[in-house]
Amino acid sequence: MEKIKELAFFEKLLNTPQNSLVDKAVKEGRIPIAYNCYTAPEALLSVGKAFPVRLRAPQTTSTELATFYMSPFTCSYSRSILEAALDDQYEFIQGMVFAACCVQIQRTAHNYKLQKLKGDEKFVHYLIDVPRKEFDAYVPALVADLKKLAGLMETTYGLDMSEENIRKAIHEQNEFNKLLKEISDFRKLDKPKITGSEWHMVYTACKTAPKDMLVEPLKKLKTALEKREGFEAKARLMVMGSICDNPAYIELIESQGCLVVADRFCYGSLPGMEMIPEEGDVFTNLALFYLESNECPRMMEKMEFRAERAENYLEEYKADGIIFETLKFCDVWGYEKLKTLKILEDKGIPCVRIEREYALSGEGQMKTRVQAFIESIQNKQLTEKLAK
Amino acid sequence: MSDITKGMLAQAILNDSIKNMMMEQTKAGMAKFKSPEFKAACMKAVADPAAREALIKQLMADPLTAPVAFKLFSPEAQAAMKAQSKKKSKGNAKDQWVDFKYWLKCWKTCMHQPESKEDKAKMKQAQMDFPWMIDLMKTVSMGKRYTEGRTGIALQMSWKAIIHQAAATIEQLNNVFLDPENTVLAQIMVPTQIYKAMDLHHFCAETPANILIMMDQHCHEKYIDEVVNHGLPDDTCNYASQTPGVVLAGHLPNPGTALICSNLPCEAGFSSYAIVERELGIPTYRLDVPYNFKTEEDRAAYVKDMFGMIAFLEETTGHKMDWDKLRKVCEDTNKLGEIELERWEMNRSENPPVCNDMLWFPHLCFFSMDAGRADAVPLFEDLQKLGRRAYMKKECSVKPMKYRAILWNPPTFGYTYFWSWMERCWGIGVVQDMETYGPVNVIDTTSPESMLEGLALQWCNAAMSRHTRGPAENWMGDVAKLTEMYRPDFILNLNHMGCRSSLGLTGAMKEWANENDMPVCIVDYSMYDSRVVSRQGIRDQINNFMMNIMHAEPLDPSLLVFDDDNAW
Repeated sequence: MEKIKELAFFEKLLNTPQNSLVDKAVKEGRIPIAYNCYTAPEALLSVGKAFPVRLRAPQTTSTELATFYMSPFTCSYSRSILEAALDDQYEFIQGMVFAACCVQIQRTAHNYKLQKLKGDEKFVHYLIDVPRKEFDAYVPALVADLKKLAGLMETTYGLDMSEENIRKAIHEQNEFNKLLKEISDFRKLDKPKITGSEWHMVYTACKTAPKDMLVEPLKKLKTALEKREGFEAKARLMVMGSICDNPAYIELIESQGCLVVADRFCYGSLPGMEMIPEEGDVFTNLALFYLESNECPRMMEKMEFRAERAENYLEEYKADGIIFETLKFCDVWGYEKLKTLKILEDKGIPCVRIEREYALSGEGQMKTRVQAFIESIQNKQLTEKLAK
Repeated sequence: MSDITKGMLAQAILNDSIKNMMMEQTKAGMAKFKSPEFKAACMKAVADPAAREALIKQLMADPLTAPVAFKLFSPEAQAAMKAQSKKKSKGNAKDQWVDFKYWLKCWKTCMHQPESKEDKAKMKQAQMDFPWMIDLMKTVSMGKRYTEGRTGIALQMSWKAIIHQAAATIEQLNNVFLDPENTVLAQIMVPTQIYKAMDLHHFCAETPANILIMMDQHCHEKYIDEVVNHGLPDDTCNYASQTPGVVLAGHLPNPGTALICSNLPCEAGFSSYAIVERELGIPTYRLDVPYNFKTEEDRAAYVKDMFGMIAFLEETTGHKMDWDKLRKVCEDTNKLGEIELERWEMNRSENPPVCNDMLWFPHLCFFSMDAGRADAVPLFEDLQKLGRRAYMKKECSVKPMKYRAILWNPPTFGYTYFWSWMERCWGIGVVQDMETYGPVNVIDTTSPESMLEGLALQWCNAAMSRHTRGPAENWMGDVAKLTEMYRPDFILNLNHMGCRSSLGLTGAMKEWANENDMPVCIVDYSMYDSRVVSRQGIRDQINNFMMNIMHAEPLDPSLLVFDDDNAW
């Protein structure tokens, strides 16, 4: 299958946090604000001159400094982000907005503040307290939190954070997501026109650069993909689990002859391309949207919902099985093995669990595991065929 | 019985000649002991040390008496006996009597039986179904270990708290086995005052593993292994992972009414309760303690969450909230808070009267695990009286107290006599600790809303909410505050290897300590698994710190290294 030249553009954006588009935007006087999680509202961080950059640490291979601050027994994503920040890889950012998604990332935020921000008044460092359950009483609290963040952005950067501007940002995000969704849907075809690693590369790039600068390249990519022939594979898989922002991992999985058609992991697109309601109070819309659409295991009461959604994704993307990957020391996803994954396994869905580190490592072992998993799926399919 | 004797016995059963030979030997031995020569030698040995030595040598040389003689008179046996008598000795006759009295009381509490025959049968059956209940008998041993080397008022304070807690645990067991319809299953760190006001009992789901480990360091390990065998990563915090292990092993009593839990202390904690809920299949309510609980909006939301919990309990159990009763419970809680503040204040003096577990244990039991108990008030009043007496007499609970320390992070549950070891080996007195310390607020009892607001504030300020989850300012701010208040010689920072939250601030703590010239003893350990870091492993880290950083001399060098890997 031929490589599409349009993809090279996105690939380049992933090499460093300060990629060419971010650089260009900063030179134009725009304000890059780093964020860490799906629940940190991108739309709010995209008002006026501001634009969101999701935290990654592509150049970090070891984490000596961060390990001093956070010990070796915390997840390597939290440490890598801190390491990258301490290594001045995030010098270009002018704000950092965290969602209090887990204690480890909270501590990354705290350490960043303690080590890097010594009373810098022009820097917004904010931690959004996203509730862990959908409960009416917590919506006003989250709304108040978002308003406080908007107020801070207004006073610190001089942005006009009016409802009108936020609504405009929400509309633009929705339009952008529509375009992304069209490309994403190529994965649903019987012969997908985009591989999992390619899609992951595109989607990750879209989270790390100003969106308005990505619209044209995305349109070009879409046109190119339309003309492309589809892929055939030994098996179609869904990857589910902890944070993964490195397309090399997906490429490694696909190197064993399968296709990753669904990405249900942190930094993945499921969920990630839904439409935020544009009518009504913008803050309430944002609060409700992120509470309701959240499929992260940090939400205490949504185990059944997560299992149901995962099953829907399997059906929608015609996936044959699940690769369940967890970062070492990731508690929320670690427990999912006994919760959501157990529900799925009990339903007869083929699953395999892989533990990994944030930076690419253990390739040989992972290849073997994936290969064996694909064979087991093929055997199962064959047995079923024979039985019929 | 030695292996040789066992072998001979086994052979004797098969072989009559060996049997006869053994009988002959026993008879000969008995005749020897009864002989007038032996009696005379014994009498002589009592008066004359040289004769005693000769007799011991003679007994050791005789193959018949050698095994017993060696066990009684060898230098190792003598040293062990000395150590044992030292361990049991409480200094003077009064202390010895106090110790014996409370020891008996503790047994009485543990052996408590329900009155009716039917209930007795139910409890017996429960012991068969839930084997961990037998481990509760080790409470007496736990008491002995806690009070090892302790004398005076400190001895009384320790025993009182332990016996009270034993009674509270037995009450919980009675609740869940004898009155399950009116009992809810609950996680700790949830406002227990609410159950009491609703006339509901509760059974703490953590009891079979997290509490019982204090009695025996190995008794719960099967539960950790159980959950790991089901696929949970073994590096997950074992505070959280044990309870699902108990459930998966089928060892958690299920009252079948409701389960109340929360998002505390961390992701692992609340995730584990999803497994409990699924396996037991009971209606569950989860409280969501906000991260930013200092903001009014968040706290107001939490109060509404508590109202939600009350509505849920009313619906699932049929019990109604009695606000007058809650008022009484809150008043009791306020009284306890007042006493607690005085205890903390006394510890700021030169001779702190309530150090180590005397401070930590009652707080853990009656503030965090089972807050709002009416009988906790007389206990705390007793402790207050004793504390005041010690304060007036300038009697420090650690004798002699060489070092004042602040304990940061939870203490090691698998090493119950860690406190008393620190006292005896190094003279360390922990004057305040993280699990105990937190702002104590007075609950306004004028209206239901104000009571719940007060309770919300109290539980948001609880240790695992305030320190291990909230902003870093809570953590670092409290360390600085306590250092200023208590003037410690060092900070003992116990780093539980599964606690991502506290590990995440290790470096910040080190830097703060350097800036403030405060020695910090960082001890890596696993809070509930001594297979990860053994008790001696913990002691080694403290010993190294005391010798190399504090340049201290141990009070009792025999306590630096000893084998207790298989001890309770």
